[in-house]
Amino acid sequence: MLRRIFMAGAAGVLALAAGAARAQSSEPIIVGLTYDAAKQASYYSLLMRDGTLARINEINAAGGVLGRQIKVLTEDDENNPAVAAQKVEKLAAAGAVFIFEVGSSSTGLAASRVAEELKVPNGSSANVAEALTNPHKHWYFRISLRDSIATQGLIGFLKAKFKEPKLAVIRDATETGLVVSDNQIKFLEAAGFKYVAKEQISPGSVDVTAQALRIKAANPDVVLVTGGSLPDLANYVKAHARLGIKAPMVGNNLFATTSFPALAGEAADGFMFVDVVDTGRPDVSEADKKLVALHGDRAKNSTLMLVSYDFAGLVVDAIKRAGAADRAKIRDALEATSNYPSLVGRKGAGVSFSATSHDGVNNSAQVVIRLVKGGQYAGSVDY
Amino acid sequence: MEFLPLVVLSGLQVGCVYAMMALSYFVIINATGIVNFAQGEWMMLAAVFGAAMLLAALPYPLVFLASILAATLISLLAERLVIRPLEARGADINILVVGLLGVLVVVRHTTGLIFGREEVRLPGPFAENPLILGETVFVLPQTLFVFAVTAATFIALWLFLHRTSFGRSFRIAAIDPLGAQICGVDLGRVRFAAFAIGGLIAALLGWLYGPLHAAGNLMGEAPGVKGFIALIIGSLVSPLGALVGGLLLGLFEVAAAFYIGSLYSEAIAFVMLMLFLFVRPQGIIPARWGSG
Repeated sequence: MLRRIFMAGAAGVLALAAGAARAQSSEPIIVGLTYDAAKQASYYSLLMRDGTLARINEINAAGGVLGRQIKVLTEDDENNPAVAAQKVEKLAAAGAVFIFEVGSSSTGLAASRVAEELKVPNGSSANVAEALTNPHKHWYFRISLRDSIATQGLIGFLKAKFKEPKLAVIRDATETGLVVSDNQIKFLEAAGFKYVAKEQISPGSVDVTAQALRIKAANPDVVLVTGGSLPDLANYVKAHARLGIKAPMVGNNLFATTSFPALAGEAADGFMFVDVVDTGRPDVSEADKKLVALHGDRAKNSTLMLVSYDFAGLVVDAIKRAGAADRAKIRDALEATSNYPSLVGRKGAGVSFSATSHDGVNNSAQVVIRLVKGGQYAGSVDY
Repeated sequence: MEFLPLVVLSGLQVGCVYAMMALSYFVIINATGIVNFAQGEWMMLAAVFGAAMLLAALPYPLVFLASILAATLISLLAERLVIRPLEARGADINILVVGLLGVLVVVRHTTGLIFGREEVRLPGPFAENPLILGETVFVLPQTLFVFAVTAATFIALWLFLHRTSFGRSFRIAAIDPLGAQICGVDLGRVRFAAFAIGGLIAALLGWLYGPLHAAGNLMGEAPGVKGFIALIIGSLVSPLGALVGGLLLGLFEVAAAFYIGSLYSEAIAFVMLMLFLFVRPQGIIPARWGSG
């Protein structure tokens, strides 16, 4: 009798366990995403969010990963580092096995520190602050074009195309603009480039004739247009053309923002800028078409959306290689990523991570110099 | 000297933008005592509405008028839905200012949520090809439009304040609200009209500033700050103060950027503000030249 009861009980427990296992395997894999919904970083954060979600939805429509769907829990970081840190704790508690941080670099820094403590793999597709990976974090990964790499690429381009040009720099005085341009100026000076003019635009300026006149008088070989405020720098591009300044202009990756050709109009013809995505590549163009179909013109040639779409694919690939929705295994799989066929960089440049480097974009060969022609983006420049 | 005319034209253009924003502050401050820091948002709304409607391929004149009207109406809604109820509860003027700061945040971010946060092009009413005036002098048609609208707005406001009975009640309300009430001036009506005129001027500015910069939900911030500085420099009690303060600030900023260098240009407005606060806190224009 006792034996029968024991056998029945054991069978019941086994049935329950099997049911639980079935239920677990059919439950979605949870990933988190922090983004800025409405504050200063939102204009690029929303593009990154939408690029990430587009790729996850595409993967889910194709059956998901490890036989499970992926559920994305999104949280607004309010462009506030303290809020971002809280939201990472919340997402970790909800069981996220990876957290995409697609807000600003400053919220990304706070978020990545908490994720590091909680041992949750996390990362960003486009945050560029050096401090995100220096000092090295064990749980943070990114494929962003950092200023140092962008500038290495720019240095290679300037040397190949113009030998040792005299540079003028024009930048905007927004906080981002100053940080970005300070770094760029510093790297270029260290590489031996000489500046004949350094000019600055107050945020929200309607006229930058004075700055353009000073640059014209300095007679540079190349004008570096850099910073964080597109309308202010687009105003310079217009003043440059109006004053007939002959020196070619090269911008930072801010100019990948899709509204630039419209803001600068014909004056942008021939404008070159540093980027990490070559929209002339067929695979990039195909991804771009998908994103435009989903999000309209705001997605057209949007680097931020494309790299976020790409990064989401890379993370899911790591989950697949990990073989389980396990944070530590996913981290290890990400770290073992080697020559992932990414959309970033020039054709054939894959993304790799290692135990000592979690920066997927880490050499100047991955840097692309894009061109504006005829009022639109026109592929990349060979050099 | 070769480029002096270009620098002056550039400074006057920047100054007109500041002067128009200062004037929109002035109208409300003078009639109600309220500093409405949300004025930059009405400018932003007109530009963002305009850009969105042009994208929908609506006719330009209709877009121009409808966007200005819509932004002005929203400025009136702020008066009806925020100022009036707060005042009915006996709120102090500082509370009203804080209430309007709340309006600023709500309008700015709601606009971003609805229309997106990317700064987009707002085409001006004229072509962008510069008119050549000399070997080194040219002017954009939009710049001439800025000059013309600024001049027309200041003249229209002066005529309204000095040549209409309702305008005179504005001036009386500014000098002595209690006395004005005893004389039969409806302060509620004056306040409503002040928000309407202030909103209209700011909305008009959206079509002066937007084509020279871009339309986006954060665009009201810089002109909002500089316009207020211009008003303090010029005088809080006179429309002439708004004009003089705006033009002076614009000319000084551009001249300093050209002759000294632009690396420190961001600080110029604030240095000027500090200097005036120490040396002449009442502003350049004497009080006796004020609206009263």
